[in-house]
Amino acid sequence: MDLSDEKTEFNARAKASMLVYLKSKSWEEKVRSIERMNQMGLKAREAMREARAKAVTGEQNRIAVDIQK
Amino acid sequence: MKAVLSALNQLVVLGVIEQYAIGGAVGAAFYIQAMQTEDVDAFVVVASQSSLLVSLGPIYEELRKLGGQVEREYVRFDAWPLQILTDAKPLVSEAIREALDVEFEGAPTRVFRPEHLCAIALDTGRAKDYARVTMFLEQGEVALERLERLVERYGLQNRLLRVLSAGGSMNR
Repeated sequence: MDLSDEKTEFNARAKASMLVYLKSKSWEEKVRSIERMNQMGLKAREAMREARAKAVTGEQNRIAVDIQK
Repeated sequence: MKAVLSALNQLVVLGVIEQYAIGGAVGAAFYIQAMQTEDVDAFVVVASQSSLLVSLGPIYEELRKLGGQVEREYVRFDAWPLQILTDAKPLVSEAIREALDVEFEGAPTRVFRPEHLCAIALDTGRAKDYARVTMFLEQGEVALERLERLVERYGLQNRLLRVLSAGGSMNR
């Protein structure tokens, strides 16, 4: 078995393991999990907006420096 | 969640993995609002070894030392289960390489670009993966032209067409 096959097999095992874990949760736990995920998502999207804004500002600064040269 | 990201960053610092990026449902949550249970998919480039088993051992060992609870192939940090996945396919390798740098609650991390999240979802091909691609399109969080170019390179055009023909073509 080459490295690529090993990786594919490991990923399948990892996903199956996670599936067993998620299926073992009660309905109430799943609801709480989705709520936590929603809270995380709000922060994550705000973080992504900030990262994109910084990237745009950085690019504008770089262009401004290039123009001044 | 921050504990998970800090642990992954520490794996890079220690040289146990070369690089990582967040994908899956948590990766998608950086762009779209989705109803999903929490599990963090970290796609990693393992430090070069001849055998994967040799490379993965130290990852789980370090995650345990960093406060994670190792349970089968996943590691739990409080409520957040972390799933380590390898770069088994060229599409995933590219997604890790081109991931975006983001700071989440003070922890720097890397997240797949939207077009890679969609292409990997199309490649995985379960109903919930197609639904995720539809949500990216509906919420205007993926550039369709860029996604089309990417799926063409990886032979996933028919799967994207399936999503678009089911009504996800509103972002064109």
